[in-house]
Amino acid sequence: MKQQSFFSKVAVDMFYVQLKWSLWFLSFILTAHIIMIIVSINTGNPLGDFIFFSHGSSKIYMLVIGIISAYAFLTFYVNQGITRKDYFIGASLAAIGVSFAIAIIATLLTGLEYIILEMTNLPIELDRGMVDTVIESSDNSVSIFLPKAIVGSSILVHSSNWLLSMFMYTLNILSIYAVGWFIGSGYYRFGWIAGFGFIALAIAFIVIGDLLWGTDIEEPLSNWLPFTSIDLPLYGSFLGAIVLIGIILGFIRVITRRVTIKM
Amino acid sequence: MNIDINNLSLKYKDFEALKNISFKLESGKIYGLLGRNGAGKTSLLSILASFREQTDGSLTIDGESPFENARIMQSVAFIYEKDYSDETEKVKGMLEVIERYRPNFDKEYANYLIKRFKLPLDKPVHKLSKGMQSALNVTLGLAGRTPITIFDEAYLGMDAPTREIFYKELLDDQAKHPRTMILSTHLVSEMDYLFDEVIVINQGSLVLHEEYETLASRGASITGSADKVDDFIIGMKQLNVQQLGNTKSVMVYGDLNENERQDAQLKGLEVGPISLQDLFIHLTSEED
Repeated sequence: MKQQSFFSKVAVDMFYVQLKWSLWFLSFILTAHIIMIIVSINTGNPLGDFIFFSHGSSKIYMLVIGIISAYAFLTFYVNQGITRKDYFIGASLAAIGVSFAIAIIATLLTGLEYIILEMTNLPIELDRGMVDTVIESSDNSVSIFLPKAIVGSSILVHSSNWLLSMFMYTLNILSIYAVGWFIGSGYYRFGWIAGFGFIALAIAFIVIGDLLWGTDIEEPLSNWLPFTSIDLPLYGSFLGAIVLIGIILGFIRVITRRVTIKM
Repeated sequence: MNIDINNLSLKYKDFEALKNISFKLESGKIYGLLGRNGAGKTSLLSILASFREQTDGSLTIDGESPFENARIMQSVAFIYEKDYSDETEKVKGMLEVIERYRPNFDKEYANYLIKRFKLPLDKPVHKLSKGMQSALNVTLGLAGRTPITIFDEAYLGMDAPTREIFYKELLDDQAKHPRTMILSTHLVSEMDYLFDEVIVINQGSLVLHEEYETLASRGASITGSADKVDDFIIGMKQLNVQQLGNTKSVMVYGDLNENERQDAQLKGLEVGPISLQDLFIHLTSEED
């Protein structure tokens, strides 16, 4: 038998499984969004477009499937005789793929949304600039998961560059997936008490991520920080986000490199 | 693929699950791994399957350490009772996964086993009965045809007739496609005929590793009047003594040569075989 790398098989399989989940997820969000549009038409309240609307939920969703990655897939693949390394590479590639897929679908749906609203001439105003409305309606204690990165991000709010929005969206949800995977791996290896430490670190990662996008931090745990936001040029934010994702993935690899498989 | 285990130890914090275990397994044989609950069977097998690393000593398969070794890991299948309560995949889907990741998988044979065990292809795995889940595990393990296949008490949940099917199919397929099979069990009496060799571990230590045939001829039960039996067994290793009135029955471990057998007959003693089950019980129950 010759030496074979299995990570591409793992990547393709995990991508398809998670894409299937994601399509379900997106269809729920789309339904909710359509209902909100109808409500909005009747009440006259402003509403964010789909890319804006779905962003917060997508992050929560990615956090959850990231956590599942360790528990559901690591045991499963080692059981099939796949090394932890191949699992790690495959799962990382699949996560990147899923993040792009969700971002692309969300962007396309948003484009479609604008076209339909344009054509039907419905009396509704969509924009991504209703920062205040959204933040007021959100509870600060859980706001780290709400679409602040996009709400407060000057780039997405004022940018009409779709491609840029899409990449931001991708990096944002990918970094949250990585955070979820990090928490899941920590629990998997160290059990639930040490797992809390991983949640603490995860929150730190999320705060750093928000800072990178120039978001005002309103999440109460970070009140001790001497600043509430930092200004980075656009490419700096992108680069920073990619580096942050790389660092989190590095941690995950260290945690899972020689981990004992749960039976 | 030969397995070579040398001074293998595994410690969990203060507890020594495996203590300096050494033995060799040749390919193409069926090995019975016997031990009581908590003896270290699963610990040993999970190192073999690269689920965990040993604390000390070495374990090599085909000369290489299996841990994170893609070539070796691909050749080892570890079948144990999995928790399927969240497994929504259908039986069919499980077969497809094995087909994708196990190069020797035989689809026809898998379908044959599915029929043999009467498993429903379109039912989600978590809805199968415990016995059916075990049968599915066994099907995946056999049809994967991995050079090293480990069944860790894989029969749990199966009823007796289903277990019989498993044993029969295992022997049939082993005859056609020899590989290294390791069957860990404490159902010794009904599985002993499957084993080419037997390994007994107790409290983390290797107790014995022998060919089954040798082992079966290794011991004997000597029955007769108490004084004659006592006289006869001087110098032999006694496993168990039972006495009823003046009649005594002693299980001895060790070869009886022809002279001894004749001697026993002359003294009017009855020499009977002992079962692996008896041997197992007596080898592992001493230190309670």
